[in-house]
Amino acid sequence: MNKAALVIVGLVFLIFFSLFLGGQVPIAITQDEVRAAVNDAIADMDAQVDETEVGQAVSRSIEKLEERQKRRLKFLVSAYFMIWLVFSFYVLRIVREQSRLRQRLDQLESHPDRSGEGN
Amino acid sequence: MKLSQVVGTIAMAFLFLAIYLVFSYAPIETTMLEVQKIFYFHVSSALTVFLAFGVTCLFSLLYLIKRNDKFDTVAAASAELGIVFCTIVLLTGPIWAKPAWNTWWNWEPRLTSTLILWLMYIGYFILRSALAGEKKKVYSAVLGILAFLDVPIVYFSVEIWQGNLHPDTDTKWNLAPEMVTTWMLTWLALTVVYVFVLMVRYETEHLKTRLEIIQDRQMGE
Repeated sequence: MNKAALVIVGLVFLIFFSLFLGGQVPIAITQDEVRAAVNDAIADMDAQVDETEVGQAVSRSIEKLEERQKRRLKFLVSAYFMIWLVFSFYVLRIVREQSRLRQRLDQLESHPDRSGEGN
Repeated sequence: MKLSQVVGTIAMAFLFLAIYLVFSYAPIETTMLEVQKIFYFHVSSALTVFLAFGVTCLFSLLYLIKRNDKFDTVAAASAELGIVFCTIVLLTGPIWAKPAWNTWWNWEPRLTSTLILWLMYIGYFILRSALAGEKKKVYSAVLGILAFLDVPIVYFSVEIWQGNLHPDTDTKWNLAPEMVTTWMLTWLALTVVYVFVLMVRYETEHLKTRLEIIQDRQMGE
């Protein structure tokens, strides 16, 4: 029971993290992709614009969006980590207490004369 | 296979499904974005707290009427679980509050009444550890019933004191259908987890009683 509970808690935690990483990975856009998209957009426009300035503004905007997303994900991971931490501590405490009681009970039932030991 | 093991397996299956739904099925909410996903376990834990303390209240009442020790054991085990879930609510709440309200803690009605609820049940265990025998069971049963009075206060606090940070009791039903499904399943998963741990906790208390009986018998010989 003790080892099984540990394995279950560990497995659930691993599955949670793999689901988290598989499901909500931030979309990373490279600078080259941004440049190419900005150049395409400028080419479609009629008015004259400074390509470098627009490119820099777009890159900075994407960086800011990624920073904000990182911050939100930190809060999300922290919340779920807290939940698992509280649960794991509590479950392990019960499991440990139960195995201690079983051990003591087995000891008393097999050696009734040692009732005074281990208290 | 023991009943508790069956319930444990079902609890794990529901928990896996809930986690899958939270991260892969429920859409990202437009205002809070990814942080809103805290909602599913935060609110479900809060509802499980109400259930746990409700069970404590019911079994405390049964103990006072029937004076059966088993009722006292269930009441105490359920109160312990209520504290665990309430701790989760109080820890995940500030993590939600920081990006949403730009503060970790605010003395608004729901937060304050939830903290009072948690403190009252901590008091329940302080009382249990300070007393012994019949007195311990009777006094803690009375406190178990009285402390439950704070549960409806927590639930309706936003309406009673016109708090403007937590949404009122009807708002959650205006969520997208996928979000409601995910939330309901998470709530169900935590309820089954609660039932499973309650059974394990009860088993532990039963072992403790058996041990005490054997020790008392051997001391008498």
